[in-house]
Amino acid sequence: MARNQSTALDRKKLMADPVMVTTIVVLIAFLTLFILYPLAILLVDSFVTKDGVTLSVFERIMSMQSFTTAITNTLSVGFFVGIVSALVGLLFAYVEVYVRLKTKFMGGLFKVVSILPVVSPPFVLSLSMIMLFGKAGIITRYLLGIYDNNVYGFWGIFVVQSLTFFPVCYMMLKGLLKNIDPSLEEAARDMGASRWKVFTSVTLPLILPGLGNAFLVSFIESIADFANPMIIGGSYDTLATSIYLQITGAYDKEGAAAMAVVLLCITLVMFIVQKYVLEARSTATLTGKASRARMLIADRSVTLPLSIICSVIALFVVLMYICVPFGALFNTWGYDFHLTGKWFVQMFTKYSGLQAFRDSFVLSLIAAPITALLSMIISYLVVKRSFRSKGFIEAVSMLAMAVPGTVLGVGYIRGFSGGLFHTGVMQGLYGTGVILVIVFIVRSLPTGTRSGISALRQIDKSIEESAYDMGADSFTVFKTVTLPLIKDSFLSGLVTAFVRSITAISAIILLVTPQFLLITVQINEFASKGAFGLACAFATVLIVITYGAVLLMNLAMKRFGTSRKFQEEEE
Amino acid sequence: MAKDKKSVRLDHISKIYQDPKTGKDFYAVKDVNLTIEPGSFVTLLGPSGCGKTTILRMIAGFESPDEGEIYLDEQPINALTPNQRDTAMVFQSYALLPHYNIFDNVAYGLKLRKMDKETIRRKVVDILGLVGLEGMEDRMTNQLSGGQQQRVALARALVIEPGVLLFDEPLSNLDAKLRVSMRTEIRRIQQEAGITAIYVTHDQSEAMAISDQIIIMKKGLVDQIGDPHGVYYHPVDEFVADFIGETNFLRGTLESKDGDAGVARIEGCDVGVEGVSHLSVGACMHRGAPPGVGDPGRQRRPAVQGGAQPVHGQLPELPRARRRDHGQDHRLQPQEQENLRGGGERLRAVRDRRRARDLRAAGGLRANCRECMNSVGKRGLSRTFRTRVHESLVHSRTKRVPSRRGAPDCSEAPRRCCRDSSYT
Repeated sequence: MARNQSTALDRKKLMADPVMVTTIVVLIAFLTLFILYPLAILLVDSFVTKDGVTLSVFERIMSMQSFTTAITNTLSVGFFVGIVSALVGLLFAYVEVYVRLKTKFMGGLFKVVSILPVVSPPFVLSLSMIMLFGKAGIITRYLLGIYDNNVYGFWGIFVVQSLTFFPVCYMMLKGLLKNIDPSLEEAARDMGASRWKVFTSVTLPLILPGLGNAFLVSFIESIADFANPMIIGGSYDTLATSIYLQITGAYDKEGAAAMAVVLLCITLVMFIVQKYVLEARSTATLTGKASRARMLIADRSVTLPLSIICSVIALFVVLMYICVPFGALFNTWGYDFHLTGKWFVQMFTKYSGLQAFRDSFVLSLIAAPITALLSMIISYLVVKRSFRSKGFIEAVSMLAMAVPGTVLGVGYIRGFSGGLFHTGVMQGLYGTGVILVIVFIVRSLPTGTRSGISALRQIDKSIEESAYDMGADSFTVFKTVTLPLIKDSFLSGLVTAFVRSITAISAIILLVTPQFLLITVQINEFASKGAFGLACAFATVLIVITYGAVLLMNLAMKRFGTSRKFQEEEE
Repeated sequence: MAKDKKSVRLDHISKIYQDPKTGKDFYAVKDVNLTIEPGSFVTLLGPSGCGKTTILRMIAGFESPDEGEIYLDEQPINALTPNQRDTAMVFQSYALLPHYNIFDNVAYGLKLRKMDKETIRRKVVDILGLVGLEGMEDRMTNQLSGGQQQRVALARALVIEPGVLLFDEPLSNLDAKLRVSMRTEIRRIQQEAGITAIYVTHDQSEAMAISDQIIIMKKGLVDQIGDPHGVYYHPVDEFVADFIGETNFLRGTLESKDGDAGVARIEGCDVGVEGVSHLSVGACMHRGAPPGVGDPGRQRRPAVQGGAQPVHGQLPELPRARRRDHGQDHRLQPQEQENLRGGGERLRAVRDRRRARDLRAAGGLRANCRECMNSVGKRGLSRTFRTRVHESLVHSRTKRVPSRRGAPDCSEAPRRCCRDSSYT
């Protein structure tokens, strides 16, 4: 049976839609050029030397003691961070979904915990970790009287990353737990199982794939994380920092490329396991919404210990964030606790803070709408249309999620500093603001696309088909039907892209040229110099900006957002 | 209202899909030829998965046929996108645009056609009047009931004056009562608008009530095309007979024949049958019988017309014939089938002895009494035992003839039976 005719006809119909064809072509070109090509060039760089295709570069880096240590370091940190984040995330999710929380205070804490990682720059916790537990840390030195506590190294990274990534697991697992039909557990209770037995025999098996998923997600995040190991790692190198040092310190671009390939392989394997094995299973077991409200656990013997543990962790996280603005207000952290505004003043007068904020702000502001629009277009194409290269577009935009920022940064250096394939074509791109904006876009695209896809899946396909049938072309359908229907998702994508861009560091730090001052790069610089006052001042302003953006988004959603109403209707 | 009614012609249309589990290709629609006259109301009827919606979506342009060509007014439209085709579809889920109010929903297609505001307003108000939604222009879609939403969907499709109106099971999300009133409404509006309509449904009573022509589909193939009366009284095969209305099947052998008419032996009784010209004497056959008043609201099948007027006998389907042997039910081997054709052995149906005993205990059945006989309809008896009631079948008579709009809907209350049978 030949399906040639329908294929030919579908292509013909597609061609009759020039806007659609142009969009697809531009998208494919963009994805190939800025995601696939930089990764490909890394492979080429690390395998092809003057003597042809060899493994000599890999042999060289593998013989470096520091590199092999970095691999084991990265994997062990990632492993423990993954486990702890998933478990703490599960605890929080369980308490929120299953336990009756009496006080408003607890609810507020949970909300703060879920929003903090969204708005904060990725390495703020490292700063406060040092300020609280370092040699001059308030807790270690002044409360406990320990004078030579060493936070740098494995434990520092482990604690900071666990605290940074567990909220992500918490949000993921919360969704899963909410989708468990309460009658399953009620049935088990009814047959005589104790609460603990219900948890171990019903709840836990149901969310086990989801738990594995959460573990891998934080594992990947931890491996890809650059800023925290950079600030608090000390001599404890991870892959991301080794690559950075290899390229900025040793000027060994081939070696860095090969290291990047190693890092990429690790994250890619985990990403594939996570995406295609665990994610599919974790949603397959739990379909649909809970049929009715869950009977919350009100038993004090359960609620009290659980809420105390959660409160302690949450308060600790909050404390760490509070540290940041205070760090900027004291004369010298750890020695001279006189309030001062000098760091803020110096930031703007001496260290061109204004320019840093302007550059970061403007570049992110340019990147955000492009990212949001692109991710909505991609999700529209992936969910609602069928054409040949759809699989490619979907795969590549998801692939970007698995690529650590450092790897992407090295890829961009190798791919664009000498022009395409080192030929000089498009050489002008490198070192400009354009490439920074592109990096921002590529880094935020997967998150936006993912939320866009899930938003669009909730919309009945026939709504768009009806508009199409009435005589609207693809562009009109997208503009008048799709976009208005996923307005909320678009808005949040916009803000997420902005926040992610303005707090991004890993890829950017490799690509930024002196003509651009970026806040995150400044913070990193001052933090590694030990100028915590300045670093905190920058970080404080950054948190204010991002938090302002999120507030603005919530306001805008309340004002213009209509999607919520449709969703209710769908139900 | 419609500026031009259009004809639709499907010329050897096939559509191949891939089975998601096995990865094998299969025909969802196979070699379908159809001609739909301008202004007529045609229904595609069949069980789910028979390819009827696929055909509709191919006409609308959402799917492309793998073989054949679709013509709209003799213009080939295979390569046109849905927005270029002069069709409008009413969706099962209504598919109203939730961020627009009723007015904007209906005006959507008109705005795309770049009409001026005044014309749009006039047309929208007119069409909302036609579907009975005057004054609701400013409501949002979620403030309407299901029936009202479906009217908006209909208005939206009608207002752009399409050449062909397509309905994809538009009533299946409505409650039973509303379904009945809406289908009459749809028929009225289609008649007033004088528009060509193609309607997909799996509800046979809906199809009977609404259509000029019914196309019955089975597994991607067109099984029978005809008006409601035709497909009801003259089903071409067992599938159609079973799918349309409620039918019992009796098995027997053809004893003798004279042209189209003949005499069949069913469980020891000779019964006059018709439509047997293609059978050889001795062939095993089925015969439709009326279901009982035990199923009020079901349609009485008039395929059995009584003794004087021969039964519409059907279906030689030899491979289906079975032989009773040592208490086992055997499918006949080819050789045995040949023997049958030769006119020898009579097939015995498998008999449900327990049922028969029960029935006798209940006082038996009175021949000549239609209600009595009806009481041993599909529900009361197993298929094979039904052959016991041959006498009554011969005498039973269904007087009601379906109106042009469709079959009797049997909404009348079941009449009292002349005796209190435990099988009602």
